[in-house]
Amino acid sequence: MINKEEISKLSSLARIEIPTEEIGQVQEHLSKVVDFISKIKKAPVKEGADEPEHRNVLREDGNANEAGKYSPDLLGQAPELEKGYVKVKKVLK
Amino acid sequence: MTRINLSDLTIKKVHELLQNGDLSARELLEFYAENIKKYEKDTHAFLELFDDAYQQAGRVDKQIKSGKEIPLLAGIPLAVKDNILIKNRKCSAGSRILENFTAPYDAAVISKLKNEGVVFVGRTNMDEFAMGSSTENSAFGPTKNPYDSTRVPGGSSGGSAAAVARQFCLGALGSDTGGSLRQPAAFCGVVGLKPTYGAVSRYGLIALGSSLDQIGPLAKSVEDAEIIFNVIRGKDKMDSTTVDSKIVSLCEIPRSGKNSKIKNFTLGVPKEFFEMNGENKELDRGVVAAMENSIAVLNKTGCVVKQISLPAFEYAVETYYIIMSAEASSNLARYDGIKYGFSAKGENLLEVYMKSRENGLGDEPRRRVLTGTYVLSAGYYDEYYGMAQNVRNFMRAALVDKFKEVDVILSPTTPTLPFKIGEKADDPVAMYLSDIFDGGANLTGIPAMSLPAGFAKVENGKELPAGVQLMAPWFCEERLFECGKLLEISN
Repeated sequence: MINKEEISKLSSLARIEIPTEEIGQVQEHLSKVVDFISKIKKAPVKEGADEPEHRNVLREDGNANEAGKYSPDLLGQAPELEKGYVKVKKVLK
Repeated sequence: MTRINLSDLTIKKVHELLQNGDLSARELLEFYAENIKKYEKDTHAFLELFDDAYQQAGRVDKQIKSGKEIPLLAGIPLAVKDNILIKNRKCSAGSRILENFTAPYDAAVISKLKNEGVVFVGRTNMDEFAMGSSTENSAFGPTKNPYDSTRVPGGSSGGSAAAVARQFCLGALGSDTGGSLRQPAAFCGVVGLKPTYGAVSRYGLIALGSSLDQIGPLAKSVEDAEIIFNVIRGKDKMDSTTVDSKIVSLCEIPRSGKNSKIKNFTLGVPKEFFEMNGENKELDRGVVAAMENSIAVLNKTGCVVKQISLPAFEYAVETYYIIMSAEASSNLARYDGIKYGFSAKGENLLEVYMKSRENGLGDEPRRRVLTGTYVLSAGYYDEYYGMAQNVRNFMRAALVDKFKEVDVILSPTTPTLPFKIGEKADDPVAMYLSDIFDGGANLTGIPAMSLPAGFAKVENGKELPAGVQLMAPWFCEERLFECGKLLEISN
């Protein structure tokens, strides 16, 4: 069973507020999921099973598109704007 | 204008009718619109019907009138899952947090289909961020199974599957991270193809698990699915996991039949899929019957069906849920209430993040993000994520070996028939097990296709569809189509 402290730590790492009245249910559901995935500890694994071949696929360095081409569309979706910038609440107290 | 029976239509038939002038694209759309008007209320397959569908169809009609040869998919009405971007259309991934998000560009698959002249009829309902197996996790209410409105259509591409089954369109696009095309295809009695990882560009697909996600077609027949797949596949510079279509058409693993007396396919049925992990062994009788029937049909056509063993797959669901949750927790970090989407008020920046994600994301996405955070956090990483990657490599290696013995693997698509709405709502793990046979294809990257394999009677005399799944080696989709057609004709 995942305890309340762990839930609160996960909530803060994942940046998801969990209201006090929901903690019990989240705890119950998450514990079920963790119990379930914990069975993987018993899985048969061959040491050093071949990893698939990975290689990097990189594009030429440079502008992917004309500067500012999509800016109005993209900025238009932000909840708050000021002078063409996305506006956020203050970060420091 | 002759009366058309929509259930008889295939893409090729419609193409001929359109090209010969026996039917216009607008007339065709009217037939589908009639069906939507009649049945959509009881189905809820769509989140939005596009108001410009007739204009799209009109453009195709103009081309035909001017004497042009039209592409195979021109004028074909398709539906699109709500996680695939269509420029200037809303795209919400079934979530409140993106309820008012407007797509700033076309997904790669949409550009390709637009070039063909496809008519997009609407965007379809889905489990929020493609997390679920029933569409009950949609923030906008569940879709209902076309064969029984008290049951689920499967998910997460449940809206797309139901729309095809209900004859609201001739085909649809969906996405599949761990069964999200195949499981709803089985529950709705249609064909669903998850292509090889790298076959189809995900540019413009709202990401869930980036090492698992693929876009694929839902259709009424194997041939229709094949036609749509052949249009959407291929290398795209915007998705660096995609592979050149010349390579995509080459299946490097030789078929057994080519150098032996067996004329057709050798199929393997993994015994672990029937006795997994000591639990959930109980396949529904209807599903067993569908399997037996399919094996009999394939035997008759000259295929050899034999039992194989894939012990590495016994922990496929656990492995899948660890890797998918880890990737989802990272992919969903972008929904923070700052750049777009739902934003909650807060005193400071952190509070805006915390509250936007609390109120904008539903229960299942929150659960998976928390699970992903858990398996990636210090102290647990090796035990879960590291272990899951090892099992994943082990599974892949096992398949490389197994595909030397068999050409195609056959299994049920789902352990049960469509379940009741609400039945698994309170038990996330029970819901996860609905995809028990499907996640393996995503973890290893192989292509897999679910196709209808008959109906099973349930209480009150209702009949529900059952599906079987074919799996082939990497980039051997053609093998799925060929084998699928053998099964389809006989069913």
